[in-house]
Amino acid sequence: MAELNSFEDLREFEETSRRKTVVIVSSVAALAVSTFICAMMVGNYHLSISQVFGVLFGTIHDDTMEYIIFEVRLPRLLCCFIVGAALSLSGLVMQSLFKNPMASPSVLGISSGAAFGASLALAFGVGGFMGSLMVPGMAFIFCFLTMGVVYMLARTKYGVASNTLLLAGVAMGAFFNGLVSLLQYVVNDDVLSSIVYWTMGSLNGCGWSSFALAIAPLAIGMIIVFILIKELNLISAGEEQAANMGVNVVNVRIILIIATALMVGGSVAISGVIGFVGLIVPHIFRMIVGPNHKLLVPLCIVGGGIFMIVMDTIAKSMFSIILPVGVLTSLIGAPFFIYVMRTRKKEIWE
Amino acid sequence: MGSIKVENVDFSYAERQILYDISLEANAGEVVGILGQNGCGKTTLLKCINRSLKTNSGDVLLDGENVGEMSRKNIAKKIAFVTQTTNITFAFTVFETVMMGRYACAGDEGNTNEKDLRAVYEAMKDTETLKFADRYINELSGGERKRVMIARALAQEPEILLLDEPTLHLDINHQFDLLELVRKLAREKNLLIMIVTHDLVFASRYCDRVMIIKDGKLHHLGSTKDIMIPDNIEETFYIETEVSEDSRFGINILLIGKSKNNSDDK
Repeated sequence: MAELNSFEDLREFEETSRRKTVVIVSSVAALAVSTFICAMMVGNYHLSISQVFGVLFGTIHDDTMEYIIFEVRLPRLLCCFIVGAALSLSGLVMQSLFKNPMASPSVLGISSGAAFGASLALAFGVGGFMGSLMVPGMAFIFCFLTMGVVYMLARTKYGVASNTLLLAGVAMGAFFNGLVSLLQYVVNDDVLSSIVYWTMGSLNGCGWSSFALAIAPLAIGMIIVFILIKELNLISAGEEQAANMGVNVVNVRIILIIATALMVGGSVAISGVIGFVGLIVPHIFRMIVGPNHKLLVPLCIVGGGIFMIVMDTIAKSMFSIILPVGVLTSLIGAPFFIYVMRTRKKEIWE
Repeated sequence: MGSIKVENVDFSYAERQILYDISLEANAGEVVGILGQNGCGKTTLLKCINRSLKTNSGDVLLDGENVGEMSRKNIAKKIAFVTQTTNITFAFTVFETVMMGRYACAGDEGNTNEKDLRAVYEAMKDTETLKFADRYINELSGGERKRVMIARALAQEPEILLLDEPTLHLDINHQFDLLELVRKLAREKNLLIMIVTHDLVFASRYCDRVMIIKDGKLHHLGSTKDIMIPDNIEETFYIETEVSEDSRFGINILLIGKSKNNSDDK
């Protein structure tokens, strides 16, 4: 880039950056729509692109196709999208908030807490007073309980240090993982397989009811993050410096942790524990576009959604059995992440 | 405006008391140097002034308003603080970093407007950081980063600028440039500037007033000419000094002799 010498040069530089942001986000959004449409075609019952559009826009009236599109694939893909978006956005917020490249929804023990809640419901509570909502409900409740306990553990007279919070999260995560293992050891084989399947993470069986269950907490969480993008940028640059520039770091951190718990809780409630998405998607985008959250937040939402749709489509169509998508996100995500890490052009972390 | 009044401030970390009954007053247009040995409480005092730390007792008044009752945003509209550290966890560009300084001043709509851009431009021009606006902060040298941090503080358009060892990592040329800039900001924009420094030579040359802290207590406060005398410096830093007047520049020059750490006089 030519050296900046005048105010006009700086304005041109700023406008170019802004245009670049719009182009990148629009391109990824267009990719998301294309991926969504393509994923509508794939499944046991293959549909052509014209059939998908025909059914969506009402020019084709076929009960089977309408059922497949509106009752099976559309809600499932929407669930995939929001779960992927929420998990990757949660990972982004945690990595930025705690300035730790290993931070992800599991790091604060939130996912493990949710897994224990769901396992508890699977072991003892299914069919109870909450009926089919017992498992997601318990996952959601334990998500928040864990978050509250971790926060209280990390709180001292001088505030809450990020590192202490992380350590408290790791400890609580290990504790809940132990409890899940204990449950797995004492329950019968049927319940054991349910718990194992649930902790692997899967979007099988996700329909409109799942979507309805998760959309509110996920949307609220995402809106909160959108509102606090500027604060997230400043905090990620350094908490002390952010406070000096006018950010109420303590309050913003609490609000963002609650937003994260809403997103993780909502996702885990309908899909179980899907690992790695929250770790790799934010990293990949940070490596490509840098650390500015004005660009990263929309990219993680759209990119996380695309990633999950692609993974779920592969999990249900490429093998003779339908794989839990959580297995695939780790198997495909990890090598891809290593590839991007080894070929990245610039250092992102100090 | 841009005045600070510190009234009988005490501060301690847990059981360890750092500041004892510190009081001072400083006004717009002044450059005030804060001197003292390592660990004497200089940085802690700056942190109490901008309420990064809450005092145990005593008040800090900012233009007559108690900082303890002000929001962080309102404090940041008046005070910019350049800390010793220049580390930024993520590789933001220099432009993005300086633009962060506009957080407290930006309008409610949150978008960058002409005023923000103008403030950022002036700050980057004054600190000679325009030429690396598009570079990543982690690609810069320590001195360049320090200038970016100062640019970010200036982008806040503060009335009061707190600088914690601003010349650390800077080469001698940029040390002079920075301190000239500091004095220019005080004179032309009527900023109150408080500098924590270990550089006695620069302090004696660029500060209007200095305060010397020893063991958390205010030992001396007054005009640079009155305070930066061999006796006071020897009493605080255990070094021999001599002051001579340079008629060419019309300034007092502090000549530093030998350390008295090993002498029997200490």
